[in-house]
Amino acid sequence: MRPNSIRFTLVILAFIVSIPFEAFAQTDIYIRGSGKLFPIALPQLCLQQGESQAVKEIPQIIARDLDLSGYFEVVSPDAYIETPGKCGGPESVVYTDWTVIGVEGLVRGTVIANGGNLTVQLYLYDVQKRSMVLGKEYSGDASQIKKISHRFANEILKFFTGEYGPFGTQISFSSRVGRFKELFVMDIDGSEIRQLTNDRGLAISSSWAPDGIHLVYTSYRNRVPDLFRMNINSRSVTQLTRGEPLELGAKYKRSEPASELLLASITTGRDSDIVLLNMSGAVVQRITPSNGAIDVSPEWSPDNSRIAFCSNRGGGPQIYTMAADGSNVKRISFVTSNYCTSPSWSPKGDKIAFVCRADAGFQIFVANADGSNALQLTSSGSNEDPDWSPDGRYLVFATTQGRAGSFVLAMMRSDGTSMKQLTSSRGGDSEPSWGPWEQ
Amino acid sequence: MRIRKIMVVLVVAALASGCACRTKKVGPGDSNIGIAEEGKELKDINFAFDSYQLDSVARSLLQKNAEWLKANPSRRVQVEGHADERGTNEYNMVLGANRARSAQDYLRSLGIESGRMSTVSYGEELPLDPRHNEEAWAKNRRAHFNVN
Repeated sequence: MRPNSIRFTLVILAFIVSIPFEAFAQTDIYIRGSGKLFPIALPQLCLQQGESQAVKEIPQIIARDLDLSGYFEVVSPDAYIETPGKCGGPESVVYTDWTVIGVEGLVRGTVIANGGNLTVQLYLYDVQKRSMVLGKEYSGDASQIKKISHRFANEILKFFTGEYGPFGTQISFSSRVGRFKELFVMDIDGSEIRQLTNDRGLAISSSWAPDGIHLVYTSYRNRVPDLFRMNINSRSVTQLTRGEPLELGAKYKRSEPASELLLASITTGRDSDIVLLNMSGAVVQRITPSNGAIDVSPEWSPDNSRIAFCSNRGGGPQIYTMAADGSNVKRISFVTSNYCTSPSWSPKGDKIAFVCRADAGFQIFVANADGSNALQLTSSGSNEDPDWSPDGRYLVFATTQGRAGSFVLAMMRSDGTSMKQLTSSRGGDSEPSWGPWEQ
Repeated sequence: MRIRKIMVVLVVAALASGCACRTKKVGPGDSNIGIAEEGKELKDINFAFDSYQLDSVARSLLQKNAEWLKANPSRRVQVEGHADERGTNEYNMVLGANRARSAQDYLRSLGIESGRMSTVSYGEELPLDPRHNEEAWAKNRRAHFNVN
C-alpha cells in the first residue's frame, strides 16, 4: 500500500464527495479531557452490491483506532441486537436496539463493490439524540480499505473533540534482529510492520522529513556510525556523512519541506555539540560551544525558532532550550532527578516531553516549554524516548511496563492516561519517531 | 564453545580486512558491529553510572594493557565504548564514545601511538551481560579492546 500512497491519497481526495448529510454541522464538543469513555458501536456494514470483506474490515479498523484514541469504549459486537450487515438509511436505525445495550454513538454504513472498486458510505449517529451527525462517502480499491477507515476514524475524533486524529500516520523505530538493530516502520495501530534496513549493525536514531516519505538515521552499515537518508517507498538510501565524527539525532526542520539543513549532535573527541549540517554532511553552523560537555538529542520547536536538547554541562544530563542561533540558553527540567534526557517538543509548541530517572526506573514527564508545571506521566518500569503525534494529543514511547526488562512500544494520551501497547517485543523496540500527517 | 571461537576468528578477520575499506557489499553472514565478549589479550575496564572518568582500577588495567601493546608493536587496537541499558539510547551512545576516548587518551599518555588506536561506541546496544540488574549493568559499563 505504501509505494503508491501519494497517488492513492490523491485518488481518495478526488473521490471524496460531499453528501447532503454534511449539512449536519458540528454543534457540541462532546468530549473534553479524560473521564468517562464514550460507548460506541461499530456493527458490520451493509453490502449493497458485489462481494467485499470491507464490510467487516472497516468497522474493525475504526474500532481499533477509537480504542487507541483513549476517548471511546467500543461495545463488543456480541452485545448487538441488530442483525450484522443490516441495510437501510437513517430511517432503518432502531435506536432502542442501541440504547438498551448502553450505546451512545453508532457507526453504520454501506459498501458497494463493483469489480475492484469500492464505494463506501459511513455515518455516525448520536443514539441519544436519535440523529445522524456525520456522513462521508469514499471511493477507492480494496487496497485502500485501511486508508478509508483511518480517515473516518479521524472524522469521528474531530466530531467529538474538535480536532482531527492521528490515524493513518506511521511510526519508525529500531528493533532487534538477532544481535543487530534494524530500522522498521509501522502503522500507528501496530500493524503493517516493515523492516527498512538490512545493515547488519546498528540502525538507530531515526526521524522523519516533513514529507512523510524520507527518514534520516544513523547506521553502522560501514562499521562506523554515519548519517543516512532513506526514501521509505523506494528504499533508496543516500549516505550523508563519512567517518568521524559520530552523528546522532538528526532532525529536519519541522513543516519546511524545502529545507536542506539538518539539526544533529556530533561527537568529536570527548566533545559533543549541536550543529546544523547540510545534505552533504558538512557542518554549516555550530550552535552549542565546544565546552567538553555532552550536548545531544536536539529537537526543533514547531516554528523552528528554538531548540530543545539534553546536556550534562551542569553535571548530570538535563533538558535545556536555546534560540536557533544558540543564544538564550535556559534549563527547563526541574524535577527531582539528576538525570533527564530525550526532549520532544509538542506540535503546538506549548509543551516539552522528556525522560528523567525516577521511581526506580526512567519515567516520562511533560512540562510547559519554559519548564513550569512538570507532570510525571509514568511511574512503573522504565519508559523512554517519547515522541508526539502530529495532532499533539498522544505520545509514543518505549516501555518495559509488564515486560521484565525488555522494551516494547506503547502510546498514551499526553496527560498520561489510556496507555496502549503497540508492539509485542521482537526482543527490544526503541526510539520511536511519529511521522507527519500525509501530505 | 567451538562455534563461538570460530565466530570470534571470523569477526576479527572481518575487522582486520574491512577497516580501511568503506564501500563494502553487505552479504548474508556479514556483521558490521563487534560481538559482546570479554577481552582476552587486553582487559576490559569499567565505569561508574553516567561517568567516563577513569578510576584507579581502570588506570592500573590500562597500564597493563599498555605494556602488552608495547610488547606487541605490530598489533592495532580498536577501543569500544559501552553503556548500561539505563538512560536513553542516544545519550548512552555519546557516553560510550566518551568512555572509549578516555581509555584511548590514557593509553596515548602511556606512550601508545595514536596511529595504532581507533575508537567506536556501541552505546547500550551490545551488553556483555543481558540481565537487567546492578551486577549486569556494572559489567556492561565498559571499554573493550579489540586487538587485530
